[in-house]
Amino acid sequence: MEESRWLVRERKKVSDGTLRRDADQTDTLLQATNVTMRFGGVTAVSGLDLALPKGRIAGIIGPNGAGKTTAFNILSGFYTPQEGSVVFNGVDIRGRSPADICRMGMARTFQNIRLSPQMTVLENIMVGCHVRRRCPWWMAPLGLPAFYREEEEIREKGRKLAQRVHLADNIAEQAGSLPYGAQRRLEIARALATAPELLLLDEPAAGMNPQESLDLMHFIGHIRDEFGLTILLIEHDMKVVMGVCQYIWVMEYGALIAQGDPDTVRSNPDVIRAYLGEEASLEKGL
Amino acid sequence: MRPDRNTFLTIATMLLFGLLLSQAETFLGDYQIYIVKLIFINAILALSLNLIYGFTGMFSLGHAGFIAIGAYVSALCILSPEQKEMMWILEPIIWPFSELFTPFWISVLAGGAVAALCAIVIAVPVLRLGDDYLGIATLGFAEIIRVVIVNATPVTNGSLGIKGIPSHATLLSCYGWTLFTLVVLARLVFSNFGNVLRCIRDNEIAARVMGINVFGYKVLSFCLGAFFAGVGGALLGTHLSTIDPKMFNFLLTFNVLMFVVAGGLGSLTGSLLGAGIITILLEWLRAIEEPMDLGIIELPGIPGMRMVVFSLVLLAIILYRREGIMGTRELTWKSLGGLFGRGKK
Repeated sequence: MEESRWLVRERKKVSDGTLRRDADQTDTLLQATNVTMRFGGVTAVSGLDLALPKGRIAGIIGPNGAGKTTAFNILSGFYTPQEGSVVFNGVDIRGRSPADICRMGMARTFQNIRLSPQMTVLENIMVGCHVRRRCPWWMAPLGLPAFYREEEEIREKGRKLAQRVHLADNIAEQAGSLPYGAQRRLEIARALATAPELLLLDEPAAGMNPQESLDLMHFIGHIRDEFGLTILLIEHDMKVVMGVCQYIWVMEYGALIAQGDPDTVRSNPDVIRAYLGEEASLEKGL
Repeated sequence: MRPDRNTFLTIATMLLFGLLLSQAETFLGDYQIYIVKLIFINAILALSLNLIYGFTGMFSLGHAGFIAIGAYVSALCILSPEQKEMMWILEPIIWPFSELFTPFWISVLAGGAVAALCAIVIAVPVLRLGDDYLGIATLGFAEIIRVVIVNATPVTNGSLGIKGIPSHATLLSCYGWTLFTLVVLARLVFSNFGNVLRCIRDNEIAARVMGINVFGYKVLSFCLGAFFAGVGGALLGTHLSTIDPKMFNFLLTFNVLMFVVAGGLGSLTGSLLGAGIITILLEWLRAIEEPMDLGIIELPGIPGMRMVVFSLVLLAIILYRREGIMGTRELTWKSLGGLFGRGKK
């Protein structure tokens, strides 16, 4: 029962039963159906099906060039796929702008960190708060009390988030001067500042040492509970993926080759072949 | 923003400076007052370009166009109908411009408003371009505005320009408009909207993912910058009392760009300093255009020598101190305190 919600193929079988489908829609936060993205002659993503229920942590893994980041760019609105649909919270987001999608409650981080290096940690987080602000820009020059109240709220929220990602002591430092791991945490804090329901993390553990990766694993679990998030992540670090994800999709050459809970994926021969190469599968006697 | 010691200090300094300027005639000559007024006007122009280029990262070379619009609109507003009838000798001035007659402050605001409106028209197609392309396109638009001014004789008096604009721009009113510009921009830039603009400058993709309407804010910043360029242009017109299309060529944009770059991109106080220092230098360097007797050799006066020196100065800034005087930092009471060795936290 629990499993079936994850599996798109199974869902399709019952799609004529309306009651069941409605129940699914309330539970599924993000659903991609048959998404295909081609760049010229190259098919970066072909026929991708994902269904992500609320409150879970799921991962997309696959070798380099498998189309994971392209999939993220489609989900967050940077690319419009040629085929298929992406439904977020019951709304088809295909063709919407990234800013719109963020407003609807999806935030993401980037594989190559995208912060404003000259701005301080706090300022970077405050930028994330902007999307939820109510006062329009012209209230700033007029200096209306409501504006300053909101400004103070944003600052306070920024401080709290900085504390949450263990950057409280670096709040006035330039983001560019932070060590790599801290920049990653800052980017997550900025994404959290947009008050998302779904958080997409693009290789959050890239460039981290084992201890940092371990901390990150716990951190991801904690913020999920604390902020009531659903998290989808791309990761190369198998320890992180297997440790934190409840469900995993495996991509190769733009297509899904396997999916399931970590144990299923771990023992799937296709995954081992794709991810670790032929030799590893031989070693394992598969 | 709760009133604290620094806010109080700032307001006190502003008032004190205003008081000083109201008495300026007792200790400054006409020429010095002329220069001080020019500094204020240039500061407004520099601040407005800094919002566009320094804070939002849009490389706009169209500033002279907006300045021209501001100057012409305000001149049309401020001149009396009789004066206009006398001055338009090539072709008679057309209605409604012939009847337009407003107080000084309305004419300045009108100059700014029309410049901002033109900026919207320009922004929508042009701001989709990035970096260098934006520079080229805005440069083209500034040139278009200039050509339109030359040829719209029934409105602008063509290449003859407009003369005898009443000199309403007193020292205090220039100071007041500079303060107005500074306060509006500072409040915007030091609020979270400033962070948003800087985020757009540093990383547009990140800004889009953070739910920021990047194009909307670019248009906003561009138009606001154009508004204050128009205000500055209006003041420049009444300050010089004569305007003609030739004034508003690329060299004007270049000068404003120099104030901003020298002062520091992304620093409001830097723009004030840049405008102040370079305006004084530009005047002071007039000396080198005159014939010089160096004892052994005698140099003839070379017109344009000033700009040669200035281009070299700009080159030196870009080579050795690209971030300008202030970089992106601001001159604050804290940093001033630190400068004098008694900074309190």
